Amino acid sequence: MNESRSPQQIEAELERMLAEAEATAARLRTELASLRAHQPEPEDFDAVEAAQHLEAEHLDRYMQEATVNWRKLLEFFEEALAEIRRPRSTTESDPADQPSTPEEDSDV
Amino acid sequence: MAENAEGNINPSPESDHDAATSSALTVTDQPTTEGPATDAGADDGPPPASPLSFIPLEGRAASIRDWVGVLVGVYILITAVQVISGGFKTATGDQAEQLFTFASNPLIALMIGLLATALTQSSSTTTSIVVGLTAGGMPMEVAIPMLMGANLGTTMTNTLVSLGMAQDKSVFRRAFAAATVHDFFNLMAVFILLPLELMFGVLDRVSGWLAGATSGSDGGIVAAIFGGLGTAVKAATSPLSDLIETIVSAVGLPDVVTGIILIVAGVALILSVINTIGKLLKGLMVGKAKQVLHAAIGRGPVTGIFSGMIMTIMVQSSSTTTSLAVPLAGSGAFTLRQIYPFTVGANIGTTITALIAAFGFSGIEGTLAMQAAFVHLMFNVLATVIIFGLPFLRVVPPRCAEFLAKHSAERKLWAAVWTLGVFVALPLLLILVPQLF
Repeated sequence: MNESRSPQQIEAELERMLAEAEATAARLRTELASLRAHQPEPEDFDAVEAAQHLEAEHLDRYMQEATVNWRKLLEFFEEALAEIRRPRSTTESDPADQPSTPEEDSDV
Repeated sequence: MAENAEGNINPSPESDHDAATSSALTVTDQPTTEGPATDAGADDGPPPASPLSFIPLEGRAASIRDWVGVLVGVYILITAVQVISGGFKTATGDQAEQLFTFASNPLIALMIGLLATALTQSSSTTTSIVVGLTAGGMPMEVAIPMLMGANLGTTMTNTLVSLGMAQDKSVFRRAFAAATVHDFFNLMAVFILLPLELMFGVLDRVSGWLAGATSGSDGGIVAAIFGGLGTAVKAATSPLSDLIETIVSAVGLPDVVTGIILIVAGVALILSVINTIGKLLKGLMVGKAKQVLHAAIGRGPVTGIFSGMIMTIMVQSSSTTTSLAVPLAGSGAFTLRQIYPFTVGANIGTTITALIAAFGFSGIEGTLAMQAAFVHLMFNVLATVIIFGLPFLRVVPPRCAEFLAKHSAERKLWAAVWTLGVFVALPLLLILVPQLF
């Protein structure tokens, strides 16, 4: 610390640092609460596995779907081309391009 | 295949390792129990007709008919590989090495393997062709990068499947991530193992040792068994391959033309028969495949790898298995972390086809063919051990896939550029530019 500073300056500095620390702590508590909110309860694992077993029963349908759909592929590339032609500002306001939900954001 | 969210306890014996490994993974990567793309009560519809349904049989008789069809298909596959080998020898004479000078650049050979597989959408076709060409004299230095490229090219199919699910943003994000995790894994495998191969000849040495152990004269009981099998298979398939070669040679064209015709005929046979074998096995093995998947649910990533491998061996197609993972992930019932080991296992399972194709040769040709098949196997095994075995490498493919999927869900251009760039533009660039300069 600079010894030439007045006690008031030092106090102000300390209060600023305390405020920053409290803001960081509040942010961490919010993140922790969010983390806990997204954690499935142990009994939810049973529901998850049950859903997976149900999907596994549809394996024959998925095997039939596991082929390239050329019509949909063409539509996809047409939409991608349309994105290039569309002005950027129109793209941002396009209701089809809604921001992803927090649950889908990957915190990589 | 269920993995725990961070910190949760799972009674699976692999769960502790999974929790430690997944410590860097997102906590929001949770499977949903309300997948938008599935309806639990929906009728899946009638199963697809067998390619042999023109022989009207039902029940057990129909199954026997289809299994006989699979055996005949395998017979034709092995015969076709022999035809390719014979055609290659006829076309090149003693000059196989000179012919492949253009592909002596490993990047070019890599891209040839990638493009060939991307065009045929079948790595089994490309690897079978490479096995035949190797038995016919193609240098192993060219075959190895081609086989790596085949691995890379096969990831295109499931990526194209996922692009067809772009109507719903959240479904597309999950599906595209499940597809591209395979892309990133195979890209990493090439980035790691191709330089190692060029510097130390790792795959060449390991596959050479394995080929010697299983087909050389000094390989002991294992070589004797493999050699006996190979001799029996060759005895069964040689008559047909010799007949095809005799018919084409009888036309009286120059050797080069005759050889090319034989190679094209062999490739066409392989393409058609692998497709048919795949359709037959899909119908025959779907029940067993369901059992494998049910058994894998709730277990860790190693079980996921084995289930992917077994399912791929059952249906004889990694494209089917990895493409199947796309709607499974898109439904929301399975997370990316569960699909990931499944697709890694599919890479290993698909190597069985090249091994089967190699059985059609004996003697020195048999050793070379088996070595090419073992290159494909060991490339995928080593990639799994290195990338999936090292925690800091294991997380790279899913993270990259999630990043790309997140942005692609917002702007489809990302997905379009990725698909066309990796599977079309880059290979063409790497093949054509060295030729021009």
